[in-house]
Amino acid sequence: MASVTIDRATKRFGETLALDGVTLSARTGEFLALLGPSGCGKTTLLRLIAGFETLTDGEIRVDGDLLSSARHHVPTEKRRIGMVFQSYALWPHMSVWDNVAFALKVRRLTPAALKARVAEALEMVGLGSLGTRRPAALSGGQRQRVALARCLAMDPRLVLLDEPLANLDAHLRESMRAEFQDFHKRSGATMIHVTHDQSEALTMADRVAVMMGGRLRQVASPTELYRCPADEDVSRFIGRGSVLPVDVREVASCGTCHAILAGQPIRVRRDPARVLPGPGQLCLRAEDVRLDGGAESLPARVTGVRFQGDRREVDLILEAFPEEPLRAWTAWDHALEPGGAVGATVVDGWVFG
Amino acid sequence: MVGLCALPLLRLFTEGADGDLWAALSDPAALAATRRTLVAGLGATALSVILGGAMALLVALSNPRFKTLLVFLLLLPMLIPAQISALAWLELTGPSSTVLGPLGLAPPPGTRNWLYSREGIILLMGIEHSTMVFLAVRAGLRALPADLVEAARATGAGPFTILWRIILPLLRPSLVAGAALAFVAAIGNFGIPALLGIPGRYTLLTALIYQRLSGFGPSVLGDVAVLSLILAALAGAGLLLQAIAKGKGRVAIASDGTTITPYDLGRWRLVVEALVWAVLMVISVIPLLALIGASLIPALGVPLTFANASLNNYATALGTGAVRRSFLNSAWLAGAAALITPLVAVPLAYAVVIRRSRLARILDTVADIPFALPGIVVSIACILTFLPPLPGLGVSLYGTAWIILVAYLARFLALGLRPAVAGMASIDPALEEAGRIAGAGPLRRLTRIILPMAAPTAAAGSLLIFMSAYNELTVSALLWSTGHETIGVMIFNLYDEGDATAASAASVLSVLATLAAAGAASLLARRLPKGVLPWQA
Repeated sequence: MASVTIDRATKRFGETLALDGVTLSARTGEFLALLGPSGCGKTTLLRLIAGFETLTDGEIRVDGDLLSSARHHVPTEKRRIGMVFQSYALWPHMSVWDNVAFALKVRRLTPAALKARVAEALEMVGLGSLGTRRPAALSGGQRQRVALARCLAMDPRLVLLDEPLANLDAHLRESMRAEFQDFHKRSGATMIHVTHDQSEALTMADRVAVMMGGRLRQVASPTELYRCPADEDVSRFIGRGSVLPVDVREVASCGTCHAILAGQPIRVRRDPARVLPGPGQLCLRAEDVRLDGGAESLPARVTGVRFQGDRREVDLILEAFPEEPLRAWTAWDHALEPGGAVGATVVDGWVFG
Repeated sequence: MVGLCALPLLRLFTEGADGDLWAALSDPAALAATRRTLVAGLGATALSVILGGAMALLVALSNPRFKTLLVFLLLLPMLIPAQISALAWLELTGPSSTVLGPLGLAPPPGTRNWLYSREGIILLMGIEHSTMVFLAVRAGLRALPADLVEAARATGAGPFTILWRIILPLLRPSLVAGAALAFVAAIGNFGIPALLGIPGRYTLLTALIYQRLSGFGPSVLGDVAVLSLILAALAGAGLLLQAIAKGKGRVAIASDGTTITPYDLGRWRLVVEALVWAVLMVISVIPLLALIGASLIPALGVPLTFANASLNNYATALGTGAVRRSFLNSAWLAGAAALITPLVAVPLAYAVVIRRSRLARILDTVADIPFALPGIVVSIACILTFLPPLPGLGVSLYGTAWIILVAYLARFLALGLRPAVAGMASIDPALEEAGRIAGAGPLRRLTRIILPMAAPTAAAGSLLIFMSAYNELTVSALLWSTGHETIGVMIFNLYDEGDATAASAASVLSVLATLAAAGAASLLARRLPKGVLPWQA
């Protein structure tokens, strides 16, 4: 159990600035996800916390102890952290048992204590009977469980997860998600999970840190991140939101405001920091738009209709903003054809900026 | 490492520059030898390209039966050192041939063997080094994406159009690279020019260096240093061409991992198979049979029959103190080189691949030089460096067995380093990082995580070194001294003294030892990255 404090962490690889002054902290026992498109710097940040890379500038502390700065670097092997790798990184020449026991042998546990810890860890991931197997003789999910047990046995204060579910098929990923959450609950360890899969980040983490272009864009709980994105890029990246310009006329209480979108008055949620009327940006998600053709609807045109089982997803463009496609969900009773005209009503939304 | 690989060569360059270059170049014997080396080297390269290239295309693009055996026999010349194949060919074509004799095809007694000639040297070197072209072209074919050929098939092009218009143009870099390697190997060859060229009065540079140094001793070192620099310069030109061709090949084609499916030869299969086997018989099998035959007859000129075949030559050879000693010498020298090299190669490969050390990468390149250059250049460099007494110790390595070991370590380091680097590169870096996460320090990570995974490739490297060092002649020909003969030297000397039957017996024994080492390496094959063992299909 540990808290992690990252202060203005900066990493340069030659000419490229991989990480640009990231300040972020994880509370003790928290499950924090680092989310972002590939090349955003999330893996670099994780490798800096692990100590595989050295900081160009800034500081990384765990429980107040300085682990990395431009001048100071505690080697990985002295950091006492756990890590689960994307490739699992099981040593092929060791049995499952030896893989799990390795870190404990390094720590010179007594044979009895070692045996008990390894057995317990393997039991917890349901592999108690496979200790003598070599990693090559295991399935993908079993290998992931061994990697988990190896991490569990170390009893780490901080666990780093480097896209551990990326190599699994969709079905297995679902069940391993639950195992990782279970592991988090049981161990109480602070966990930092790197992923590019937003549904994974939003379902598993207590808080999600969104990174883009080497910078931190927003840190928030999954609900807040989805409902109240901080800027245009986060709006588009999380939940594929559309962003339209609006004119805020009146800032109302309870976090809402009255605004004009393409000449039509709407009432939407707003950033609490906004206190004055004026131009702003509106994030609209598929569930914020109804295709009921009511009196206050905006004229729009359907550009595509997709079958989604329980509903249909409709692509449309507002006639006032032909550059910005919107999405809407609709029930089956609507007769919709690509190219057809439709009336779109904004029932919810989030104004930022 | 620097002391072994870089220093002697630097010493050679300074010595060569000090020596009177113009005097050496105006020496008619040196000029003639250089010209002959170029003629024979280019001739042999042409033959190697035709033979090795055609065989690689046939094996990779068609479907002859017994492919594994076929490839093994094709690469057999690689496992047999030049002086032994020269001996085998001389036994085959000479008046007392045990193969041609019974067929009535052997030349009459007293006839001069036609192999003692420029053509003989070109033929044997061409065969010997065709394996290099074969391996380069096969590697090129393996890297060729199958969809390029399939796309050509889809346009309706026939097999010959595809071969001529698609496959061969794409293979050009591999062909050039293989040809350059064959050329470098041919001009550095010593066994064939020594056994065929010296009696045939067609002296190549390697043979000239040997003749001068063994005739006049270390007093002509400056002179032979210039000769070996000429040889090194020719080799350098070849290696540069190879590097350029290799670089081009890499840029030209991006492989998607699928390899070309062989053509079905249909009714031509039998014809092609007969042709391939006929070639293989001539280049790999029949000369060896002649060698074995010669080792079984009581005396040269006596026809081989069931009644007179005996192992007497083996008993005589092994009964001779000097021969027995040479087997022991080669065994311990090659064994020591094989065991010492991994101690340098594995940590160096670790530093290159996993720690990405720049210094290590430079050393890695330096290690290639003594192996790429002709062996005789390496031994001259070693004499120049180790003839003066060692600083501090006051003893000279020259005239002892140690100078041979030092030269082996320098020359064959690359053979151990290549597999070690390939093995290291196939290790997922996360495996080492997981060791750091587990709290293991650098030494424990190396010994408990990296070494066990790198062990098979290190062992394969050791076996390759043993095979190459055990039978070699090129390096030890200039470095041996009485009591410190290697097998290569002993076979050469036996033949030189006219004891061809004993030389044949000793050759057969040393080839058997090499094949045993190759067999041991093959047992490891399953645990090695592809390409570590060149003879694996």
